[in-house]
Amino acid sequence: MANTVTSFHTFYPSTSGFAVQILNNFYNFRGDRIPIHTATASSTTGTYDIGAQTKNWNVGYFSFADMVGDTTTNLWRITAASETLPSLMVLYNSTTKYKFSKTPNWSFNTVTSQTINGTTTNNSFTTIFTASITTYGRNVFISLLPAFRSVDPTTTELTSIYTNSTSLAYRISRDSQTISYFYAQDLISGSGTTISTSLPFLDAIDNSVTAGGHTYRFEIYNGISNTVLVENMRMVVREMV
Amino acid sequence: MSETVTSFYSFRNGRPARSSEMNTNFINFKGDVLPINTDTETSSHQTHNVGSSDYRWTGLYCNNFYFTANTLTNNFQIEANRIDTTGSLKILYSSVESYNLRPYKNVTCTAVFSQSIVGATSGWGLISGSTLTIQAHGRPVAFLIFPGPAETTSSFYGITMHTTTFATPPQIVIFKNTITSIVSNFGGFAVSQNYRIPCSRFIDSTAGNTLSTYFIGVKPGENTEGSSYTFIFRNMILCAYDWV
Repeated sequence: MANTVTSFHTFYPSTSGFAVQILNNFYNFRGDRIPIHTATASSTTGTYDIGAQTKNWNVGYFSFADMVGDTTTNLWRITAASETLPSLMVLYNSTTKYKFSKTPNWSFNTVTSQTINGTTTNNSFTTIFTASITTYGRNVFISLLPAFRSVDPTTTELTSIYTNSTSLAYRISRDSQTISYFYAQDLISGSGTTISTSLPFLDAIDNSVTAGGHTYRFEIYNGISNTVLVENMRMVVREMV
Repeated sequence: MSETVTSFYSFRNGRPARSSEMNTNFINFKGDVLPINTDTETSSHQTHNVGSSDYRWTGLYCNNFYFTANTLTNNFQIEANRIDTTGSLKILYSSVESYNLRPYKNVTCTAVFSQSIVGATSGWGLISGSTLTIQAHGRPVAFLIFPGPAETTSSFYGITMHTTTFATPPQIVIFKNTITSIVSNFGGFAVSQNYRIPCSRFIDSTAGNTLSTYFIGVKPGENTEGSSYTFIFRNMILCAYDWV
């Protein structure tokens, strides 16, 4: 493409070569269109506008828009993605940073019922969920929450992590790295009395994730002989905007 | 910039084109490029397009976009930030920053902090290491307190409060800027034994467009005999984020 304007003729009365000069000026408007300086026969960057506050163009038809910040290496691009999942993508220095799709960048997994028997082996974790996501380098929010389930009013439906264990730990990890670790040494009772309880929601934020594909895992450690029951729960991981 | 076109000459057969008229027409395409009305010698507003659905330009190279809806004050602007050297793409409404898309993480988190607060029967105990600062953009700011990554089964990790009967209930509070500005107050839980909290969320619905500092305070409560209890944060992280 032409990256500059090399001539823009100013006409004077009674000069020759009139038709050629007109054509040369019009050539500046064919093909790529770049801003032309009002006083010199050259192109100018970052000075002129397309339209004005009170004189708007109606619709712009473009494949992408490049926007420059304080330096030319600080370059943002907004473009429509030609991928299976249509999306509007925002790139920073040629790397995708945001993807606005019909669906958010998230993943989830659900478990209907899982029992974790007690163990006396420390750090013997049972995996409850895994969920994989490909991120663009921003934070990932991990939520453990009750899943949708049709409720039979004649029966009891549990939607939580239900336990009477007094030695319960959970761990949210990304790949092999622990993100959040909660250990309830005596969740139920300080006096040793066992009382059943439930954990309906647990959340964490991954603040050290890098761009790429990752698998998140939710695990439970049950340190005594009583069981932990996970009923109708869902783990959701989503990249934060 | 010029916000109008004042002349655009139409040339006719049998009449020589004057150089001044030719210059005037070409000047309309130098510098700022306004939409020129197809029938009159004036600029148009929200009538003509750049490209068409069948013939679109490949790329637009600019510093910012400006979109106007039905009124001039009802406008959005998308601009590459020219001040923040680490780069951001801003969306402004009526010149006020509404969104700030950064090429990196947009969540502000503290380091892992742990603290035991022996209950004061009045006033607030402030949690060291829980302070963070975040720029709001007219939307709520959300907070999440959750356990950090370190692992041990030698002691609980999370937030705990052990008490019996209350004269005053224990409370967890998010403060903004000063301890007189309470954003959110989680309290009044009435249990007569250890109470463990793995995580908790808060929302500042009046964050405005300001840069604010937030921190956690607690009032551990007092039992009916006048003794206070210990409120413990162990291995916790506080994160704040703009609620997009």
